[in-house]
Order: sequence, then C-alpha cells, then structure tokens
Amino acid sequence: MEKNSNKNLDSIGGNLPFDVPKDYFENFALEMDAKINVKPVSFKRLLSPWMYLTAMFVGLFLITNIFYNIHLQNKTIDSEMYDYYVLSQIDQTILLDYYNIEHIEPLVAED
Amino acid sequence: MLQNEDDLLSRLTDSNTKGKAFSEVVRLYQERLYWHIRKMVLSHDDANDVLQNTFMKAWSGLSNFRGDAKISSWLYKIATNETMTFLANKRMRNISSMEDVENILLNQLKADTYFCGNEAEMKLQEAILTLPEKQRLVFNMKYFDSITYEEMEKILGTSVGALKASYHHAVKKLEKILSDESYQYSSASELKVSE
Repeated sequence: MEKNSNKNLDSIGGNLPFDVPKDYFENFALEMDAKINVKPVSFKRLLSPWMYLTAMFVGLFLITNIFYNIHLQNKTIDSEMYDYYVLSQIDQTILLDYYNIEHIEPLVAED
Repeated sequence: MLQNEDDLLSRLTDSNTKGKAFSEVVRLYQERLYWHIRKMVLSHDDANDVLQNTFMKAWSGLSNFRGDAKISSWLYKIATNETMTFLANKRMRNISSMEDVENILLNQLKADTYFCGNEAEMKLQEAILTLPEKQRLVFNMKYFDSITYEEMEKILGTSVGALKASYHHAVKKLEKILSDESYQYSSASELKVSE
C-alpha cells in the first residue's frame, strides 16, 4: 500500500538536487578553524601601540627642540647685528666723548 | 564509535584540547549539518550563513554541553533552531512585501546556480514548500536523511507517534500534489506528460 502511494515520490528518488562550490567543505573547515582559534596576544604586541606613541612624542620633542634652538640662534644673531647697526650709526667722536664723560673723568675727579 | 565519541567529548570539555577537538567536530559533522540546513533554506549562500552560525553557537555553548546527548543530536538541534530562526527572520523582513517566504525561497531556488536537479526534482521541491515548516523538517529528515524517529524525537522534542503521523500526512499531501499535476515519472531522469 505504502509503495503504491509513494509511487511518484519513489520514481523521483531521494537524491538531493543541490550542489556546492568546489572545495567548499575544505574551505569551510579552515574558516571555522580561523574563527575559533583566537591566538593569545603576545606581550610585545600589547606593548607595540605604546611604543609607537612614545616614539611619536620623542620625535615631536626632538623636532621642537631643533626648531627652538634655531630660533634662539637667530635671536642672538639678530641682537648682535642690532648692536653693530647701532654702533654704525654713531659718529666716532661722539663715542669718544661718551667714553670720556662716563669712565675717564670720574677717575680723574677721584684723584 | 561510542568510545570515539566519549574521547571527543572529554577533549571538548578540556580547555587545553577543546580547540583542536572542535576542529575535528566541524570536519566530522559539517556536511551532514549543511545538507540538513540546505534542504530547508534551499540557497547555498543562506545555508553557508546558517551553518557558520550553528558552529559558532556550538562553540560558545560548549561549556554548557554536559554530554547527556550525542554530539550529533546536540548539533542537529542547534542547526534546526538556527534554521527556523533564519526562516522566521526572513518572514519578518518580507512582511511588507506581502509575499510568502515559500514563494521567495522557490524563486531563489529557480535562479540558484547550485541547483542541479531535473524538472521532476524541482516539482518535488516546490511541493515540499507547500508543507508547514515543521512538517517540511520532518519530511526532509525522514525522506532524504533516513533519520530514525527516535533520533528525530531527541532533535525536535516531538514524540515518535506525532512524528510518524506528521511524516505520513506529508507523504500523502506530496503524492496528491504530484499526481494532480498529471506528470508520470518513469525514472528520475525522464519526464512524460500524461493525457
């Protein structure tokens, strides 16, 4: 009875009419391995972001230092140049008079 | 076989060996579970997604698995739940389109490049889609996988009697659908239209 009533089903058969991509199951197993096998994070790997940060700040500090030193040097040169400039504008005789009044005459007066 | 299962179980519960043991479990059961899921969702891409979810759920639920059931039954149960959840979500996503999930699955199947059946097998899949989800599950497990009713009882949590009745009704319904279409099948590879 069951055989006759399953006539159509039996004639179609019990094979699944589905296919999978090539190497699907091998690749699937490897993908699952990768997903479940989380490797422990090494100390070096934990430290590396901090190392990068430190290196960045050290670099910034050095660059800032260099520019600051350059700025200081330029300031010194500028002030020296300024002295030369001022002196170049003054007449020699005025300088001598200034020197006499400020330094020589007080000494003579003491004597 | 039982000794191997006990050994696998003990390695699954040991934190030092569980990774490698689970890798073995994946290789042992992936095909069976894949086809179990694929028969319900029909599309390869969807079956792949559900299979991944199944194993990830199994992996995260390993600590709760006491070994009181066979590993295969436990995995089948997770796969079945994930499949039903997937179909329910699909139904929810398509609620606004007013289209049945079964129609969507059928259209996907017709366009699927990984469907390698003939017209008769397509008609059978179409007929299977007319069954309610749970009945479809029972039919697929019995007809294609030849899973025993006792094993099915452990997986689905339904009594053997109810499962037998469900399968019997499913077969009757499918036979009626296939007969009503007036196709005569002389073999799985031929299709003759009756007068």
